[in-house]
Amino acid sequence: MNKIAIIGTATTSIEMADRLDDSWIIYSCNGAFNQIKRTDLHFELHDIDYLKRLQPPAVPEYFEFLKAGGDKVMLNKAYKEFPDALIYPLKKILGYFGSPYFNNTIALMLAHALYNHDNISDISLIGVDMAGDGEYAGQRSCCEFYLGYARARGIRIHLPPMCPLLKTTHIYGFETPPAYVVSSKQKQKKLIQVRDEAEEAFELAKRNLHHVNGMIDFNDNMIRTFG
Amino acid sequence: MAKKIAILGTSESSVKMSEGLDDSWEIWGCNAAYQFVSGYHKHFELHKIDYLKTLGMIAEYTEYMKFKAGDLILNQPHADFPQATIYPIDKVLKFFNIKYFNNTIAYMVALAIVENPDLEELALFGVDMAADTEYAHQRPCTEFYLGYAAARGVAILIPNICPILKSTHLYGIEDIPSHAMGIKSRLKEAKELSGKYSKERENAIINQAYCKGRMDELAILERLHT
Repeated sequence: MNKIAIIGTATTSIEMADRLDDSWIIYSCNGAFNQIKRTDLHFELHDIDYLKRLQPPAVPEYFEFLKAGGDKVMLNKAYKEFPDALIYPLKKILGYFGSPYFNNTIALMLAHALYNHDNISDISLIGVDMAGDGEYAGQRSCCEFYLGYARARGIRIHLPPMCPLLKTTHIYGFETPPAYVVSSKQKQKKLIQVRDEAEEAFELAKRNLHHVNGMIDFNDNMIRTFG
Repeated sequence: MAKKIAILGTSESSVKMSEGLDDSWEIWGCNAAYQFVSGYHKHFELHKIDYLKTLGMIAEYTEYMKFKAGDLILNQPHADFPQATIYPIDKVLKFFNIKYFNNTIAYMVALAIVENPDLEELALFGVDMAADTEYAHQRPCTEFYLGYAAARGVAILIPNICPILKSTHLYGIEDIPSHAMGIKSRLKEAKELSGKYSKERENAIINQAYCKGRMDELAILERLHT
């Protein structure tokens, strides 16, 4: 049976990767390359030219790492400067899952693990948070889709305690929200009210300031004109 | 015959598309879906009834739930709906071996999987959970159970308009589509304009307050000299 650890770049838990024993196959990606001691397959699925155009560009050591990695590196397509790198088997993976639904590297790595290994007993995600709103909200959904797929295959899923994936504060509809969630919500409501009042007072004070400035300038002009 | 289940949420964007389903589908609705589509099979109300009453639950909804009788699924027994079926939460948690539910649609998907080993197709209508809504945090949980269903060979049908299980392009492999690039550049442009107008508004407020100060002083002078 295979155990696959997928390592992202979130600093909240990436150091846990170095505590995995040799029974784990390690999939790393992107900026994790110089944060962990070993990797079995490193995924860089962004366009290499795009990485070079980034401001600031990816560090030169990274391209050296990709070159030295040979066939332990997986790229999105073939590049002359990385002739030994593996190419992500997208067509096969799309055929396997039957849907073109990928919006982040971690999901592509999960899908690769599920496609490439028949006998997976465990998948661990380390350094993967996808917390908050915005870009990561959509990425989290996509990852959880493939985690659901893994769970249906009977694979044990391991996530660091600080990782928000597959977690809720309470079982919706059946448990009451924990006290800290309720108190945080109440506190947030109060804080927003205080902020709105402060903003209103601030705007009023600003208008008063400029109003008085206008009066002062007018009087100043009068004084200078009439003595 | 293998089973086909359609799950209805309350998003107006696609809930009525379910009306095109033929009789081979079993249709499950939840919450206010009954206001959009009539005559579906099971109705799920997994919020606490007493909590809904504090929000001012309308009499029409109470009547509807009474009408559903045994086809009404509640989270716990309630005296007003003695015939209701209680959601088998323990069975579902045991089946998936994870305490992870943050919305009604996920519960419905999970139950469809647990109770129907012969489930062949699963459709979602009126379920958006778009990124810019309060429901966005519910989408990952729903997709976890959809992933589970997909792994069991269940075909998943979701309207094009619904963002669930969709991405604009294959990340890293395909280029961002031109329409998405267009949206990005238009958003950038709109943000810059918004910033410019905010600054102008700020200056106008300052200038207006400043002029008001001068006007007030002139008014004093005017009163003194007329």
